[in-house]
Amino acid sequence: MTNPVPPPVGATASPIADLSYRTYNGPLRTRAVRWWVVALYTIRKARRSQGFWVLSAVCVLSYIFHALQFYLEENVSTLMKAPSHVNYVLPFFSAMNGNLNAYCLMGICMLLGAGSIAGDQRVNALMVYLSKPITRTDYLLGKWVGLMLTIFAVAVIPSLILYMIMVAAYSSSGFFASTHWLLLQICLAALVPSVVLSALMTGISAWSRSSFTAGALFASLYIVTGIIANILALAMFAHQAHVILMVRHASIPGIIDAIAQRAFNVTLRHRVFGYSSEMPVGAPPLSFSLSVATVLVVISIAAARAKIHAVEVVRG
Amino acid sequence: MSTINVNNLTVKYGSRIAVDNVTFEIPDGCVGLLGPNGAGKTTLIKCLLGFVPPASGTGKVLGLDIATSGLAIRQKVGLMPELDCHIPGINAVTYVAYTGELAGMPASLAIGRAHEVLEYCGLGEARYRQVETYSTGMLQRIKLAQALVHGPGLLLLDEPTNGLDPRGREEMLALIKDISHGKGVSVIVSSHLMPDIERVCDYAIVMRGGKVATSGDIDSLRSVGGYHVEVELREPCPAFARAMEARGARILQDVGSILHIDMQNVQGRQSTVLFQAAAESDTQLRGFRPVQRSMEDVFLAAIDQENAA
Repeated sequence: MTNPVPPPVGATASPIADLSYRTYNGPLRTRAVRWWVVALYTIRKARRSQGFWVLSAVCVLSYIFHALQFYLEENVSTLMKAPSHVNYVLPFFSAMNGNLNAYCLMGICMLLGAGSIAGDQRVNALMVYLSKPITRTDYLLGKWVGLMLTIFAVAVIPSLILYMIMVAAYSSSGFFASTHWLLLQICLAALVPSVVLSALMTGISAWSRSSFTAGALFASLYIVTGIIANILALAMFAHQAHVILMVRHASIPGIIDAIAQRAFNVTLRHRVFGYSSEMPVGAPPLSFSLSVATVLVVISIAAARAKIHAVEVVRG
Repeated sequence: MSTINVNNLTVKYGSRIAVDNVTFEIPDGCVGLLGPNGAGKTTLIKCLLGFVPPASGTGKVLGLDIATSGLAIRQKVGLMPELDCHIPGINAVTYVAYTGELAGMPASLAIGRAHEVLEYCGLGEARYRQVETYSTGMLQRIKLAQALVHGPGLLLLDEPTNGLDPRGREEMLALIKDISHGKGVSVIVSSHLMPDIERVCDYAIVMRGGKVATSGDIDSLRSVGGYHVEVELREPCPAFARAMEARGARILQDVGSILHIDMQNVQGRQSTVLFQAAAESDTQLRGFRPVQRSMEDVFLAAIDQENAA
């Protein structure tokens, strides 16, 4: 005959260990760092994603490829008594951080960030988070910073490795004299896309019903604004080079590119439709681009915060 | 000492009143929050945790003000929500440890504690499985585990037996009973299932339409009071019923050998009269006790009373 009310499961599960319930009286961390727990979890989750490692590898390979290209060009220019390697270093880093790697970073951001809040909302995880002693801001900050640091690491680590190689190879030939601020410039140029992309992705994710929708929206916004800005620049102002250059940066990838150029204080040259030779593609002032980026970040984060609630309250 | 004090608390969703000017005090121990769907139980829990601000009135949970100390309350309270909820993409032990870290536990202690509570909740064997692969019963258990991990002083369980099969339900009720008795944890069980409350709780609050219909000790709520007695005979005996009626008693219910008798008009001590009637009808009296209602009867009576008012 079976017992209608079985004893508590833990109490009889093992004859050796004491598995009965005991309360927790151990130490507790200060509440101010709870957001970091969420950020750390986001970073750990990224590390477990195979897609993240594949895209990061693509990013690093892109660096290796371009660094090799740079090395060969630099050596050729030295043989031809052309200007020193420094003339190539800054444009290289600017191009890598502002343009060449941006799509890789976008892919990583989409992969890791699309489901960050949308996924939680789908399975009511917000109720779990917010029933613990953390605020909506802690949760949001954790999600955003976790994503941002992951992207930042992917953006900055190859640059730093290359920087160290250059220091090792060229310090005797006056590398530091001509690039005092290079380390800081590298960090700034890597930080900007990380902050902007992660904020935008977080905002979109909070307002999306699924990870797929969030990812699709983010990619569309990123790619479409870039394409539209380029088309506008070429179609409407074909004969005013300086206007072309400004309009070209009126997009998310454009802002990132502009800040990278200004951070390294270089003007990249691109082939522009209607011109026979490569044109210098200047960028808006750093303060302007940074202001636009800040506005984007603030709007994205504020929008995300407005959407984060423990419970869905339907106003009657 | 009371766990929760609520004074004239009103909670509104826009113009709709979900909790309507309720005042009550919840003592330590296991307390049932009863009521049909839409009675305001879940809203009350959300308000107590600071998720929904009160429109008026005051409330205290473990001595902390619900309007100003939401975070401090959530530090001391564990919530098992009604809805299925988990953090996707991780196994059970990581999930529970993570929720412990969210509550402020250092990572090394949280992981140890996660193992302990998962064992306690009966998920020891399945702790390394992804939470998404869990059955409904296991999901209920893991919700309980994440609510317990940081050692709360008060547990709020919202419909803890929802979706469970009979065995799972029995086990969940046994767990709740074990936690709430002698472990230093007060438990509030919100449910629309009267037998569940009856089984595990010592005190109940019955809600209806956002108001408290009745509240009190389960025993006192179930007690009919006065002169209603349940009598158990060795075997069915119509002569006993006639002997009691001859002494002024009224037979309310006669189910085989068990009789419910109203002894309001009987002269003398109840026990003496019962023994006399048994002797006269030559039957054996197995036992007698005051009649108790089921919680379902308590609930229906409270609602009738409120409707009449």
